[in-house]
Amino acid sequence: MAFNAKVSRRSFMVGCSAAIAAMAGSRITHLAFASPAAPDATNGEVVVVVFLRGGVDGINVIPPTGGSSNDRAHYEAELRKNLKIPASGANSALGIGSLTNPATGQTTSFGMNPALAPLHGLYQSGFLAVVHATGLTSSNRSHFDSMQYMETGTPDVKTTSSGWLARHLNTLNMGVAQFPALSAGSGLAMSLGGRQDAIALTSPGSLNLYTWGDYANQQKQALRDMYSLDASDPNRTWIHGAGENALNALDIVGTGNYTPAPGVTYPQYSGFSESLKTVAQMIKMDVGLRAATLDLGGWDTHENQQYPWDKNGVGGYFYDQLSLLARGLMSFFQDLGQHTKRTTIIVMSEFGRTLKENANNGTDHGHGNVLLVLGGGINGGQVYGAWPGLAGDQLFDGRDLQITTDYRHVLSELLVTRLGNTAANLPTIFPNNYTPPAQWMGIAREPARTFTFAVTYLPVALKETK
Amino acid sequence: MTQPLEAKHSQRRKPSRRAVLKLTGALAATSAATTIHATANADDGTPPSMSMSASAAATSSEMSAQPSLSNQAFAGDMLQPAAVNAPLPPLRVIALTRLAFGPSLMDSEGWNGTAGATEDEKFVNWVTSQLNPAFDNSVYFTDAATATRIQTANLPTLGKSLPQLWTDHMRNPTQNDQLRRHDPADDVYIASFIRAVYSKWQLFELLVDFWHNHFNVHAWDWSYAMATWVHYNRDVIRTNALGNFRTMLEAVATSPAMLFYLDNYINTVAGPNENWAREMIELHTLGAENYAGVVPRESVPGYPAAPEKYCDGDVYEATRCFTGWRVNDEKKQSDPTFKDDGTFLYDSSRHDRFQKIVLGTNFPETWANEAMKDGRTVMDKVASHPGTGRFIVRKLWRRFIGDTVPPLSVPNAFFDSLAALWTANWQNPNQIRIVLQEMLTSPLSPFKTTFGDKIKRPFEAAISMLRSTAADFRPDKKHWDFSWYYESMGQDLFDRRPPDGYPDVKTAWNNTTSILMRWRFCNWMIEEGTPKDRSDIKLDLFAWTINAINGGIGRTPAGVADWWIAVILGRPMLSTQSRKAVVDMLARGSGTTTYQLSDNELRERVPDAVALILMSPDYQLR
Repeated sequence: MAFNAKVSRRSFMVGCSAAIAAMAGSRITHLAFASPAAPDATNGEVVVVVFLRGGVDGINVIPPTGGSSNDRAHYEAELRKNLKIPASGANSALGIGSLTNPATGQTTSFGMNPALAPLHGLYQSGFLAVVHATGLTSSNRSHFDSMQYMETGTPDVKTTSSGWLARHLNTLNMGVAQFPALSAGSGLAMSLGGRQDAIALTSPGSLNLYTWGDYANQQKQALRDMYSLDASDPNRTWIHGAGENALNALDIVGTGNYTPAPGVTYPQYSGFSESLKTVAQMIKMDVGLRAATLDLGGWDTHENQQYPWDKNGVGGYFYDQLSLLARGLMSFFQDLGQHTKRTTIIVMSEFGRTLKENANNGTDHGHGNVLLVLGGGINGGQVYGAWPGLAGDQLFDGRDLQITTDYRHVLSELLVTRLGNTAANLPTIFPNNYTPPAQWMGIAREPARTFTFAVTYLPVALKETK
Repeated sequence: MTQPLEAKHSQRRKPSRRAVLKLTGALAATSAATTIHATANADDGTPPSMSMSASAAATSSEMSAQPSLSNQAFAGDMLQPAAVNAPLPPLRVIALTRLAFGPSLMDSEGWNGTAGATEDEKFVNWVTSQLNPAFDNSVYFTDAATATRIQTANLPTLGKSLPQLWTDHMRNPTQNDQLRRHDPADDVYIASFIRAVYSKWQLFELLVDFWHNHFNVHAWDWSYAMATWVHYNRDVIRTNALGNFRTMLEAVATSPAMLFYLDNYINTVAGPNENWAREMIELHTLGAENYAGVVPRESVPGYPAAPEKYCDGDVYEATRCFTGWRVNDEKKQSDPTFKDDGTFLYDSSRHDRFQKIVLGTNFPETWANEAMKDGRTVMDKVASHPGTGRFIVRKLWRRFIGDTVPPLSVPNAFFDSLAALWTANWQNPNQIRIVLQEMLTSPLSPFKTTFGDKIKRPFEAAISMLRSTAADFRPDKKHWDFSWYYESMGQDLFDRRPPDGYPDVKTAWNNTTSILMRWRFCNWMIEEGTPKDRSDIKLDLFAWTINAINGGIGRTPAGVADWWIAVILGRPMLSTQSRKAVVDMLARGSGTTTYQLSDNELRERVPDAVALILMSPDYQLR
């Protein structure tokens, strides 16, 4: 709950909010003292975590395409006979950077699954970075356990009851922050567990209390009266603060619809788009949002991963999901406009999948995976990490991609070099004897840049498959 | 029917921590949620896709940021809740808010009819009666009136045996109205709501909810648990909820729901799966607080005669003991024992038949070869371990007394005596009721003084609203929309995927979403229940009001408001501005103590005023 340093500001904020609400007729869309136009220093860096639920098949998101190693040969001939992404020719992977295997000195070059075409331009212009052979070091292939370990930030420990993002916010010197934490979707993410002020929204303006019109305002005002006991009133309890937070959320978010920036079109008929719009709206409202989470599920592709093939070998289930992810993220990035300078998007998943496809043209639960980072403050246009290789003896448990970069290293580097936290707080954010790397990878860029929406960043005609 | 509002002075509490700190010039947080007490263990996990409660780690980092005065000043105050400074409500309200799903407008829980010369006596007699329910219907575990409601809802799977459930819903489900895979889970869901709202045996229903959470199984799995959910609810949980823990543990261990949920049905000597054994020890019995870690068993204090804790080795050995405990889920031509009827099957061909060592005791091979003996002995050992007594009693304390539970490191005579009572009675068929009787009614119990330390979880909040308004609530499988509004509150029944169950501390349930969604449920209930063409929910707040007016209350905004506040909350509101909000909702500008409200005005405005009371800070406290 509130810490000493924030107490008086919180009371001030609440009182202010009520006063402004009264002036504006019980509805505020921007706080009067925050400039609605440009992001100001008090709003700070935002981290948006997109969790791909189900274990995304990283090796087919960012497949190997060549290099001096034999990994492409392993991939094509042994591991993914049916599910391989072509390295050349029609519908082939879009080339990106390469990694070296420190043990052999050989390089492996990578490409993006063609479904990620909307993001390829972002990669080339340096706004997107890829980390490969990363993930949760636990040797656990249970979805729930792995998600729990990853989101609480404590691999193999089940008794942690707060999330890593919450502990980041708890230790961050945030300044004025009315709504620092948001989960877009149908519940609060485990990674934000422990933040009482976190709110969950399914879509922009989704906070309707089953009341409408004048009565809705009347009831809200009455609730405000019931819950706003002064801090010095002996009858005030912890429940009053909870109610005030709830009412503030109602005031801030309102019940209206959201219009994206001109020219931006999110993928239609998708809950993922609703979640992205919700986060975009909150970022642009300048209410001090510092961390947001959202989910995209459907990655647990145990069978017929790329069914049905269309004639050109493009399309199918996995392609369509990746395409949705890419188009959604691209729209979001465009929508953020000037806010891209202070927003970092992390795309992660609880584990990768088995390198060798199974008998049902699918893949099973694996280990090492990819992680994507997007933002104005990112050194994109590179692939980060150390490549372990795809030969039989280089695999984890004889079947999966090894992990050479603990996912916590990536998060720690971003927290410290991009998101405003400090190395001194890392033991609190990632407890249980986690040791950060001796050197950072260099994934953060200083100074950050703003992404400008221009048609040239969309190199391939977008395929609307829904 | 309404209790006279008690004088506040006689029940005034000790001054709050905040007041003391103010006097010493060291005002800490605005909200008393920053309790200085370390919760005993950070084992409260998350609601589904919701946040977890504030960890002990976060709390202790707050602690170190506080002036050290705070810790010293309140060491002796450990069992007093820091939360509410207001006077305590009457004992009836405390009892019915904590040991029932709130007072019902019609006293269906029988408090008023309970014998007792004083309120304290009445309390003891009522609790005793609740701990010894006389069910009229042994299939539903309810009184006759509630049984009728369940029958009217047409939930035919509730009476089916386990083999019938298996055959009908696991093996032969169709898409017609009669035999769907999810019917058993749906029927129990609806019946649980009906029972929570109407059953006379309220404490029993709270305990059923408690044990379902403790032995959490995700029911909506489209598999063994969903198809046999009636069995788990009726034969495993309800049958044992007031009885014996060791008996319940074995019923859980051998149920198809749990065998599937925690993978023990495929725990075999060739391919062991430790999921059940680990959670049985870590979540259901000894608890993570008694985990020594990945250490050599010999290093655990008390080893071998009485190891104080369990280590990882114990989990692996226990796993071996449970190999072959499976579901009778296949037929074999060669072996008629395989009937594919969903019942428990001990499959010796899958059992690890070599010697084992668990919690310091050598399990010889002979035990492994005597069907289920080694697994049963593991359960005996954990059920009789004093650490289990402390762990379970701590959870019961957290459920019924307050979030502020006796911490591990501070001796507390009353708590220790309860834990010892639990352990001493580990084989007594009345173990659970014995310990609860003592916990709730002993003169040493803090039960009566800790009101306000907890928040109503969504299930308690929703059910209490239906009870407070005398709703005629008739859910059935054609009227489900109440569950849409209910589930957004974050505690959908039997829907928690992780095995740790829904958390039971206010920090998990006082977040923005939880508060907003319970307000929304309230508005849905009031809006839809106020006379409409709906068959599934009816409120007649107007009729109750007219009745009260005919009985002598004023027809004024103040008169009507105060009456509803008294029947719903049982005590004055925490603040004058709260009461004013309710009065003003009725007055809408007219004289609050003089204006005579017309029938139409009452019809229109009373639901709005009642909604405010149900959404008030007071109403959320427990």
